[in-house]
Amino acid sequence: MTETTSCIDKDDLVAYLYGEVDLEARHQFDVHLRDCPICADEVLSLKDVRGTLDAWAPPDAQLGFRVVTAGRRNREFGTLLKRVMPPRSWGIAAMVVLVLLTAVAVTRTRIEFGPDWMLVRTGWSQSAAPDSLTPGLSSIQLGSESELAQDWAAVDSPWLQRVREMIRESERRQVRALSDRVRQVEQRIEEQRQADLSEMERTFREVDPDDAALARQQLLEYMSRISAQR
Amino acid sequence: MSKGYTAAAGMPRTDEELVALAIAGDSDSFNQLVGRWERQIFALAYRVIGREEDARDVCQETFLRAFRGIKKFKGQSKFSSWLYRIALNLCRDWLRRDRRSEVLVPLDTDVGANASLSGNQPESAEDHAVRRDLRRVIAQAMSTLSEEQRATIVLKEFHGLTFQAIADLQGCPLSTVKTRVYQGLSVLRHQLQQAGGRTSVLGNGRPQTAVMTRGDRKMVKIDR
Repeated sequence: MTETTSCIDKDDLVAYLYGEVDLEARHQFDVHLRDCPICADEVLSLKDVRGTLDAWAPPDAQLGFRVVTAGRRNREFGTLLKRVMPPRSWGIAAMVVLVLLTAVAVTRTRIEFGPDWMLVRTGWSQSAAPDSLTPGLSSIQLGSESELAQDWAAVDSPWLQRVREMIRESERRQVRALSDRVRQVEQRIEEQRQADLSEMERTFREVDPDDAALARQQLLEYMSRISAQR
Repeated sequence: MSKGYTAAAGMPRTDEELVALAIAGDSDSFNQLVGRWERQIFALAYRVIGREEDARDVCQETFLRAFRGIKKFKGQSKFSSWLYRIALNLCRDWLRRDRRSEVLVPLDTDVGANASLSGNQPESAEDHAVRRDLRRVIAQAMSTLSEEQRATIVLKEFHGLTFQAIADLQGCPLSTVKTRVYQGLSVLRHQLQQAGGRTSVLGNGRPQTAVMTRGDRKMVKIDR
């Protein structure tokens, strides 16, 4: 059995299959399908394919996508702060402070400022002179150490002078290295501060003017609060 | 009152109303649209790409792009059609990236487990296994279609778009869409026949063996 020239065109057949034909065309197709087993078989088999496809369900995935913008008035300040100042910069700042505190604790660093100078002393370069206000056993011990220091200073030999010179040179190197390190850390902090300020300005420009004003006010209050705590 | 409803009669806002609010800067309204359409977009991506995780990524990226471009949406088409276009472009890029032209058919297609055709009736373990096997056969058959055929079949069969709407989406003549559907269904018919003896499901939710052949007329008819 072969398809006759009067059989339904494939495009029309598909339109009929999905009900996208007008009533008159549908009636003509119905009449034709009663007389043409080939087309009837074609339509029925394609309907069966469609029915089978019905069983193809997608997974029950957890979706719940939500768009969260930075311009929300009712958001918490912490959320705003995270956007204005990325968490990465906070981490770097905390790490720098931690390194500085550790260095100060280990070396007992003392920094003295003058009108046009800054002197950095480490614990190794401090005098062993006793604290006059420290009473009791500590005074005695420190006094003993002082006496030892005087005895030590009284000894004058080329070998000892050489050792003293090496110690002083070592202290100078340490002071220079520490000064360089402090300068680098200050430079990094300043660079990071500038970058954060730029990021904040950029973020403020992106959000709505009202929101930017609110954010500025909240940020100012936050900075004031932090400053007051310090 | 929720922003998703009109103040007049508690009726849900239309897509057009929500889009207008979203364009005005109301992200809640956009999220209403997301909630309304994310399941459809995910289903589209899943059936075109074939993997849940990738489909989820495409779905998320679709709404992200829609949000970024919402102010450029002038209502020249339905919002859903706009979303479909974005999703289809992403699916196409996804499939073509790294030459991933083949649709992935997961070995364990235990998907849609809660989507029983019978509604609220609990599904027995046997029914579940039959349904899972049928889904795997269908996914395998769909993976043999060309990218255009697959997308066209999915849009027509599972999302109920008209031929003209699909033609507008895909930017091709109406006759091309109909041809893709006809050829796609013919390929699927052949593939399902090759997988003859598989099981199918009747409209009442009970599994029965389907003979995937045309001649003897014993193909299972599933109520739609």
